[in-house]
Formats: sequence, structure tokens, C-alpha cells
Amino acid sequence: MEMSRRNFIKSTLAASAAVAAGISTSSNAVAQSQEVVIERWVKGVCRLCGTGCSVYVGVKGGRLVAMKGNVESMTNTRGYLCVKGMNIWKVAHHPDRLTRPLIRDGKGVLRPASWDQALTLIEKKFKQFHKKYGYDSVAYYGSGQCTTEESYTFNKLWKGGFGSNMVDGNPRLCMASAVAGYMSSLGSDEPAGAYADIEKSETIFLVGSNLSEAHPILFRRVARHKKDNPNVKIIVCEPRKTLTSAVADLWMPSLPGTDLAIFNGMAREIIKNNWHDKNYVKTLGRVTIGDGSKELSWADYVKHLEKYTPQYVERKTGCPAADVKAAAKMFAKSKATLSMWCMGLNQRANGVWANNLIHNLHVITGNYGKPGADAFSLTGQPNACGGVRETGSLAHLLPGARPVANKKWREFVEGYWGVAKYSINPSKAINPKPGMHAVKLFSSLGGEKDKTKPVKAVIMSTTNPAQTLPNVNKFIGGMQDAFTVVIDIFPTRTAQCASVVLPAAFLYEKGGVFGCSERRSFLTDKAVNAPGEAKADIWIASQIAKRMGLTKLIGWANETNIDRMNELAWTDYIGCTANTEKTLKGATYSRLKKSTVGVQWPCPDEKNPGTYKRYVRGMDPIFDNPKRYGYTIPAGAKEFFYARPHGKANIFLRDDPDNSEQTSPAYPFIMTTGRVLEQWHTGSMTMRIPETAAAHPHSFVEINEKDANRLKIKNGDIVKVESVRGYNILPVKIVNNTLEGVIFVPMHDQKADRMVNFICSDIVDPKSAEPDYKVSAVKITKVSGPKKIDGRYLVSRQEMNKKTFS
Amino acid sequence: MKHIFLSTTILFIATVFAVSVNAIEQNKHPVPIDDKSCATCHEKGSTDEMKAAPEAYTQWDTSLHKLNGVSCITCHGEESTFKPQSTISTCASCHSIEVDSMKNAETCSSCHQVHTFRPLKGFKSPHS
Amino acid sequence: MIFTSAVLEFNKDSYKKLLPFIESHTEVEIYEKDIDAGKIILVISTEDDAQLEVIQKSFLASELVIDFTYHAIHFGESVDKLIDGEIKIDFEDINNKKKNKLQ
Repeated sequence: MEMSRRNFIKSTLAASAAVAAGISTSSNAVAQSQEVVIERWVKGVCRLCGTGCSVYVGVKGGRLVAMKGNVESMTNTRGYLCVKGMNIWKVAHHPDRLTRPLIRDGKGVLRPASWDQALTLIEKKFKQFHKKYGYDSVAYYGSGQCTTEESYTFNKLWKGGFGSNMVDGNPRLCMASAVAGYMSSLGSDEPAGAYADIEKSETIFLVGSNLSEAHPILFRRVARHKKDNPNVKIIVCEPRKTLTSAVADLWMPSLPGTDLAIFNGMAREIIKNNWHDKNYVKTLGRVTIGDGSKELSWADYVKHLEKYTPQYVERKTGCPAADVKAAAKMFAKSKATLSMWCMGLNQRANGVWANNLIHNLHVITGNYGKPGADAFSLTGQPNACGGVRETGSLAHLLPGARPVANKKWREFVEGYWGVAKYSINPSKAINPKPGMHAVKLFSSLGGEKDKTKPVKAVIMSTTNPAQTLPNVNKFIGGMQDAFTVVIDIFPTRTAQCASVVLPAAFLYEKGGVFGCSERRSFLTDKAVNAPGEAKADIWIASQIAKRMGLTKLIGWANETNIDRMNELAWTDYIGCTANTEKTLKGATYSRLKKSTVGVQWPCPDEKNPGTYKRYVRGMDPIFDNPKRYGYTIPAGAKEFFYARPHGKANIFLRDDPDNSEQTSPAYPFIMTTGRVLEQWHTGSMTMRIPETAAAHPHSFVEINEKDANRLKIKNGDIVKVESVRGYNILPVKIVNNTLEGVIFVPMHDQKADRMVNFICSDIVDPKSAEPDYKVSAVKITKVSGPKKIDGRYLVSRQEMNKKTFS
Repeated sequence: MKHIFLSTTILFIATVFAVSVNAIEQNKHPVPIDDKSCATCHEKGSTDEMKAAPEAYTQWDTSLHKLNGVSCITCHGEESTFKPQSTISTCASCHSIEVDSMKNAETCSSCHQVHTFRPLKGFKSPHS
Repeated sequence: MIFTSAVLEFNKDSYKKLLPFIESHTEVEIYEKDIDAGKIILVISTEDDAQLEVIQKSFLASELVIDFTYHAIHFGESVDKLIDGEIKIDFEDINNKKKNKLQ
């Protein structure tokens, strides 16, 4: 036996013994060496969640080979990454990457085509439909995972060039209620504070968020803050006991859909004990109801809350009365309280009201403006804020997130864009009437022959609505019949429905700006080339602009260098919004190129460092020149919600209606949905990364032990989970620390009989039109004992030619 | 006689171990994983047929890594990318400040007990 | 050649006396140590298990040693030799034992 093998064996034996004995070992040096030598590290952001971790991607030989955190980051402080972010670079060189345009032939088979052929077809169809069915018959459906430059370009093309507001995006399915909540409560979208408030807070209220799995790096900051400051109190309010509860001082259960009663109950308790900040309420609060036009009195508010006794709350929500009282005390008596929430409050039949009620708690206790205090809505996608909300790429908005119905703002944008000169729509104006929100859009999408479907064509990017829309069966046929163009990097369920599939460049192959939850915009540089003929979205938008006669409107359409296109689009965008409270005028492209921390708006000029805290004089530059932004701020006001008349935040009287789908004897369980740490959205990327796929290879249904016993179901059994809309066949996972009557199914599986959106309720919030993914009434029936599951399911290139989903 | 008994008993154990050491050499997980979770075999009290040394899992279970979602797969990969021992580049993905501060190129596990990752007592942290 | 890893537990105060004792065994190498915890990881290279047993007895006899336990053994070469027919194991004693029981 040669010496090296002998030594290796001895080292391995010793290492094993050391581990067993519980002592550290230095003999691991045999394996611990830098595996790969990196040629250069390229700055950027993580492609995934709304935390906005900044990273460096490692490049060697023209390929992405590694990823590391940016140690200077203000978001993922100290450069931490989660398991998804650490591995996301593996997506770039995956063999399943789409590399050529595809056109579906008469037999339903997607055939490779040239870009010229694909774009010619798109041009022909768009012009035909514009003429025959009107400018609103062609829609764009975007994504919070496209860059800001791309979203802005498509938005301008449609609203300025086609005179159509048929632009919406997948943030409609996740953030729309938070947007409407901020607009109605505070007057302007997006948080007042930032992540920096985490380390300054004394109480943290985590509600409607599984922070440990959905925003793990922020969870790390919260956990570390608590570890370093034992006096910090964390309240976790959720319908199932997730890993987030590991840091809770107080864990409050609440049946899905019922927590509005808890928030009103906490407010009642706070006021009853005189724990509210009377001065703050007087100077910066305003009681109102409904759409906020009518002002009411404090007495009206107190009377409204009488119903929400701790006993009432307990009966309604399952949250113990004592917990409501304890939570109220922790919330109100701390020096600074930070609330963080996500889909648990947004994806609800009354999501906007849930948001309003959290803002209420902050107004009545004076928890805005000071360090550590804020009502912070966590964004799910990496660029829903920067790319869709801030550029106004939703059916009812314009850049700066101002409503298209606002005449003054609309006229300003028309002037800035030169709509009167360049638009191909005879109206030569931006349409004052909002377009269709996502669910309505896809409900109205269909073939030419179907007169009930006014939308005949849609181009969509970086999103997968054939898997993500609620009650998705309702929408698949329409997508297949209409002229559907899908821009993506991998085969997906939506690409399976498409008439044309266009291969897209991945983030690190094109570069661009992402703006995260804390209003921070960060530029990713291009690191490697896209494979095959894959192209950046901005190039695709530019080709459409050229073919539709809109090169004057989209001034960068004739550029060939993507970086130059991005820069021109960005510059156009920040010029457009320079006089809004979301100004990024100081975040020039060259500044973003150099910056390793990004820029938080408002940032009116290059000298301004960016804004940590809004609505506070000395921290928010809007105070320095409010007239410029169309606001009036009294000279003596230290804190002022300037986007609201008289600077007062709204305290809304909101009920706790039962608008979610109700259970019945036929459908006795409440199904709620959510994420797992290792997977992202519909799994098109993370199911192709070995590590994340292995960690969660297929969906399951979590059932409470007691419910399982009643149904005579054991761990691993296969069951049918069914609503009035559809069903899934899933393996059972028995849990013993979550609520009876509540089951949980993750959202990531693309296997047809495990796609949870076949089951999900399509009730939407009446104000925001965001669907209620969190509450569906279902029944469970046993199918068989444990069986081997074909996990890691992926829609293949071949399956894209089939009409049915397998 | 006694030593023959010892021989044969140990021989059985050793054959299994020899197989597993060979597997370590080839960077292969010794037995097929079949998309099971690591806990299925490695958690203490596992009732799976193929039990495996639970000490490492128990140590990890009480660690901050577990709290922060850094699971077995993060450092050891999955079946096709399996590494019995993690490499410093994995640690550096999150801990590049600490890795860069170690100019003597000492390995992390010299001072941080695998898998609790707690530093050994009596040490002054060399990281800035 | 048989390679064995073992955990030797001792009182941390007797480390200085223990070290030369360990080193007197030429087949034994020290791989890891945690003196505060009173544990040392040894790797022992022997021709056969009889030799291994002798070493084990020697360690257990010493008052400086609290415990000496095997962790793992690698029989690589011996298994190869067994398969090739170079070594034969004598099972007669075991068979006799069984016969005794039946009576």
C-alpha cells in the first residue's frame, strides 16, 4: 500500500474518532483547501428574495464558478448568504437553459427559430391585434425579478407608446396589498424605515411571515440582535409553528384569515391601559374609515374597538386571551417596536385592511420616526420594489408610483416622455383609465374567436403564471389559445402554454439594477455572456420598439451594448421621477457602478448619502425642499407624513369580516400555503440546483397529529387534498405543534398533481386585487400507504410540446 | 480462541468500515440517499435501518448554524455533489471576513469544533 | 496491516508523564489531542489483531490512563489477503464450542 493512501486512511480514521470524541481536528487540512481559483469577482445582488443581499460572483474561464457575500453590505451585513443565494450561480450553465427562440407550429410543437422570425411574428400579431381589437388587446405582464431598466422600458413602451395601461406584473400577487396599505395609511408606498432598525429595536413583532425560511438573512440579523441584547422581545404570530418561532418570547397562534381581530384586540388593550402615545396620536394621527376621505373622532375609534375583547379574539382566532394582552404590552411599552410582515398579511381577502391595522398599532404607540421603530413590509421578490412599484409598472400606476388617474402627474409624464409626439396611438396620450390587474387580465385572455376575452395577446417575462395564479385551471386554456409570448431561462408551465418562447439572459449575464425591500437600489455588473442566443429583456423590448415605430420614445433602442442601454434607460427613469418623494436622481449610473452599498431613496443629488428614515427632518431630504415634490411641510415639524394632507397618518376603523373561503362539513380543513427555505417560487431554478433540490425534492402536506389520528392517516401516507376547484396528491408529514384543522402545503412543486394553485382560492382583496392564497377550504382523503415519490420534477423541453400538464 | 472471536467480530465491522472509507476516498455518500432527509439516518434515535453516527447531527442540532438554516446539505452537498468534509471555500461564502483574517491559512476547524462550531475555550479570537 | 483509531482518556494533569509512555509504543501515533478535555486520538498500525490486543492491555494497565477505546479499524490489506487466500481463519474452536452447547 503506497504511503499516501496509508496516510489518508490514518487521517480519516483519526478525524472520525475526533468527531466522535467531541474534539476539534486539524487533520481536516487534507480536504480544506481552496477548490477553485477565481479570476475575478464581479459585484452584484443575489437573484432571489427581497432582502437584497449583495454578493460577488466568481468568474473563471468565462463561467460563473462561485459566489460570496459582500462584506461591506448594509443588507446582508458581514456578507452572509443563505443556501439558495450561495448556489444560485449554478443556474447559469445548466444544460436545460433555453438558448434559441421557439415558435409553436400548427401541430403544437415548439420549433427553433431565428430572432428575426420570432420578432417578425410578434410584430405582425401586435399590429394586427392593435388594429382589429384595440390597443388594450395586447398586454405586458412583468415581474419583480426583472431589472428596473427592463421594467421601465416595457412600461414606457406600453403606456407611452401604445397608449395602453395593460401592464401588470407578478407583484400584484404578492405586494399589492402592502402597496395599498402604505398608500392609504401613510400616503406613500414603501417603508419609512430600513433594516438598520432591526439592531435598534426593543420589541420585534413578526406576523404573517416565516422569516427564518423566507428571508433567512434578515432572520439572522434578528436572532443575532436578540442574542446580543437579551432584553429584546420578539413576538411571533402565525398559523403554524415555523422555525421562526425558535426566537420567539411570545408565540401567538392565529387561524388563517382571522388575525385582523388580534390587531384590533391589541389596539383595544393598549388604549384601555393608557399605553398609547396621546401626543403622537394628536399631532400625527387621524381617525378615519372606508376610503379615508371622512375624518372621525378618537372616541369613534375607541368605540369601534370595544368588540375586540381578549375573549372575543380568543374565540375567533384561537389565540389565547392572555397572549393578546401580553403582546399589547410588549408592543406598546417598548422604547422602539419594529413590525415585519410578508405574505401572511398580503395574500389575503382583506390584505389591505390587515396592513392598515398594523400601521394603526404603530401610529397609536408612536412607533415611527425614531430609531428601531417602523412598520416594515418585507418584499418577496428581489426587484418588486425597484422595478415594478417604483417604476409604476402596474395597471393603475405611472413611474414614481403615482396613479395614472392623477391628471397632473399623468400630464407631467406625457410631457417628459414626449407622448404627444411619439405615441403610435391616435389619442397621443397616456390612457387615464387603469388597465387590468393580473387575475382580471388572465381571466380576459383568450383566442381571437372568443368574444368574451378582449385580451388577445400577452408578452410576459421572468414569471410563471400558469403555475402561480390561484385556481390556475381557470387560466391555462386562455394562455394556450391567445398569442402568448414567454421570456424565460428555463422550460416552465407557462412556456408550455406559449405561442412563442424567447430565451432570456440571466441576471449576471446582462447586469442591471435591483431595488430591495428597504428602498435600496443596487447595480449588478455583467459577469459572463448569456448562452446560445439568449438575450437581455431590454434588448427584446428595444427590438419591439423599433418594429412598432417607437425608437424616438425608447431612445436606447438603437444601442447594441446592453450596459449602455441599461444606463440610458436608468437615466431616463431617474429623470422622470426626480420630483417625486421616491427620487433617485442622486443615484446616477456611474455612482451605482462604483458603490458597494447601493443607494436608498429619496436621494435627490449625488452628494446625498441616501435616506435611512423617511418623514423625519434631518434624515429625509424631502424636508429640505418640499415644494419641489409638491408637498407642504410646516417649518417647525420634526416628523411629518408629508404625502398625507396635514401630515397625519391614518388610523383606520376596520372590521374583521370573514371574507376568506369558509370551511364547511364537505371541506372542513383550512389549507394555507407558503415557502420552504431551500426552494424559490415555482422551482424552475432551485429544482435544478442539486443541493436545494435534494433538500426539498417534492411537496407534502403538513397535518396536525390529532387530525391525522382522526382521519387514520400515518406519516408518509398518500392523500388527496381537494377544494371545489381542484386537487393535489401529496405525501403526509405529521406535525404536532401547529393548529388543529389547519394544513400546510408548500408552493414549489411543478408536478401537475402537486401544483398547489390548482387548489387555491381565487378570492381577491377588493382594493388591491391580490389573491387570498393563504386560506382555502379543503377536504382530505387517504389514497394509499407510503409510496416512493418521483421528486425533483421538472418541466422538460419535450413536455413543452404537450397541451396537458403531467 | 479469544482472539479468533475478536478477529471475526471486528472483521464484520471493519468490512463495513472499509467500504465506507473507500467511499470517503471517492467522495461518495456510502449508501444511496434516495432523496431522504439527512435526519432520517443521522438523527439520534433514528429508527431507519441504516443508522449512522449521530454525534455530528446532535452537535449541529444545538448550533447557531441550525438556527440560521445552514443545514447538512449546505456544507456537505447532496448525493451528486457529496463532500464528507466541507472545504474552506464553503465557509468563505458566508464568513469571508473571518477567512481573510487568517493569514496563517489555518483551517476553521482547528479552532471551531465541528459541528457545534463553537470556538475552543481559552482562545482569544484572532479575527478582526 | 491493520489501522485502528482509538480514543485515550486521561487526567489532564498527568499529560507530561503520559506523553513518553505513549511514545514508547512504536506502533502508536498521536493524531489529535485536547489536553483540557483529557482526550487524545491515536492511530495504531499493527500486523494483526493479536498485536493490537497487546497494545490495548498495555495502555489499560497504566495508572495514567482512565480509558482506552477503539473507535474504528481499517482492515483493507488483510481483507485483500483473505480474499486472495493468503490467510485462512481457523473456525474449529467456534464449531467445538457449539457442539459443547448441544450436549
